[in-house]
Amino acid sequence: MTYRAAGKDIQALVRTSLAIRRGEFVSLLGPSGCGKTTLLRIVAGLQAPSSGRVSVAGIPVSRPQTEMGIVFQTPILLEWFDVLGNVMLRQDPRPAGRAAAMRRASALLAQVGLAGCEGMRPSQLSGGMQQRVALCRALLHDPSVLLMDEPFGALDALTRDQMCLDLQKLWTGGEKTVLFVTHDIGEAVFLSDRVLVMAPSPGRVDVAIDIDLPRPRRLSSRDTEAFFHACRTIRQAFERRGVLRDDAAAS
Amino acid sequence: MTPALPDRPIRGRVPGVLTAYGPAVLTFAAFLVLWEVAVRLFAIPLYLLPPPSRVAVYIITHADTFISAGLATLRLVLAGFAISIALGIPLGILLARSRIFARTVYPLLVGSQTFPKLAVGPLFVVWFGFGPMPKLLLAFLVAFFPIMIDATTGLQSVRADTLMLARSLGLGRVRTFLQIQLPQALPSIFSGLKIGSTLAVLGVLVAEFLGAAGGLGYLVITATGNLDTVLLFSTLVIIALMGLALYGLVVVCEKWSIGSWYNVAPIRAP
Repeated sequence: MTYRAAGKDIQALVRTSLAIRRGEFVSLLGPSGCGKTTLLRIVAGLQAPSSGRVSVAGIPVSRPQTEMGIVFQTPILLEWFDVLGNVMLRQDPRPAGRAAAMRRASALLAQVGLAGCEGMRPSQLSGGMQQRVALCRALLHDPSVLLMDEPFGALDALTRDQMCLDLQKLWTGGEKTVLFVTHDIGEAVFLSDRVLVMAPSPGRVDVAIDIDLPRPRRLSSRDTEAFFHACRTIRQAFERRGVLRDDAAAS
Repeated sequence: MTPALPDRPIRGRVPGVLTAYGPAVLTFAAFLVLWEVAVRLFAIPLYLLPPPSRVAVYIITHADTFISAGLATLRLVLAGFAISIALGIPLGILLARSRIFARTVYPLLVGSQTFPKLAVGPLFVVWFGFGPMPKLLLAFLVAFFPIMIDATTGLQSVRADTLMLARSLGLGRVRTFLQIQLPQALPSIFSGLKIGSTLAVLGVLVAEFLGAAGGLGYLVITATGNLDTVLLFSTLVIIALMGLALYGLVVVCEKWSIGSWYNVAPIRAP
């Protein structure tokens, strides 16, 4: 899979094949520039691969996959709409089905702790709250597939922990398939059923690691031996590929 | 979770009218006093520089003259401004969206702007006489360009991530334009309207200088011919008020339409 940039073909991804089970929570984990975001955009149909094919549920991807829910790195809220308007953006403004969508939007907002914020302006919200609104916007039509591109990357550590817990709750264990892009090992292990560790230049999936932590996971799950073990396995994969170099350990 | 920001961002807080404009009004008042004192102290002849008090009295005692002339000019200004908006904004949209139009017509439009448009005023008088036509044409000619260009600029500066969002949500062309692109272009469109409003006044006045049976431009020419400097100054005051009112009208419309999310400030302090 290649794409053109600055006039030359750059091979962003090679031989990348993902088979994701229905209802599975899968993380794509890797350093910056290994093609995580590119891969996600190609799956979403927002970017065309210059070679190679993508199919979701057996159907080739050739246009934006509007039935999926997508959360981007930044919230991308529209400041000329209030919070409710942003969550409802997908909904056709015609009255049919609008009342039901509005109820669903309010319910989603309440689920992420933003009850009563419908009339607020995006600029009145903190970064974490804005990303929650973006999450509700992606979930409005109850998609079976949720794509998330480093959604918590710009948030502080405490807010990120809370968002992980909230996301787990919204995921409702097995009803939605989630493809979650991140560069945070702990975040990937905490959230995922399976972590796909990517290696850079050219980008590829290096190893897949199953995470056998009981669900629902709690903050204390991160203190367990199983959690440490998963993180260590991933770190060792990065060290093997030279993504992480600990010179002190080598000498 | 980090706490929410205060109700309004600090920059967006609307200051009281008094704190916002009080200092400027006081400065202007001081200027008028200085003017009045200087005229009396140095005994400057009336035909050179009348004192502000004289001008104020003249305006009040000749109110009916200024009202009828002012309304005649105002009607033309409003009509000329309306035509500029009605053609300028659609042209701006076309310019931003049509590659063909941008390549064939845009260079000509920009090139034509180097030509001093007011200079074609006499030609319009030759073609259309002393009626409203030359005034409307000249007002349109000077006012539509900034309106069109700012509409184009606004549409071209739409953030790429919002367009990607629109694609991922499957909004389609019409809703993408109405809900994503147009709102982002509005601040720029309004700045074009502000410039256009002052230019529409200019266009009508210059056309009235060239030939008219009434209106404020006609008063200016008459006053100059008779060396009636008090009438001249009084007319200029009325013209200034008209320009200010039209500008204010645009600002009010801007506040009403985008003020809830965009920091509209008629005059930005540096």
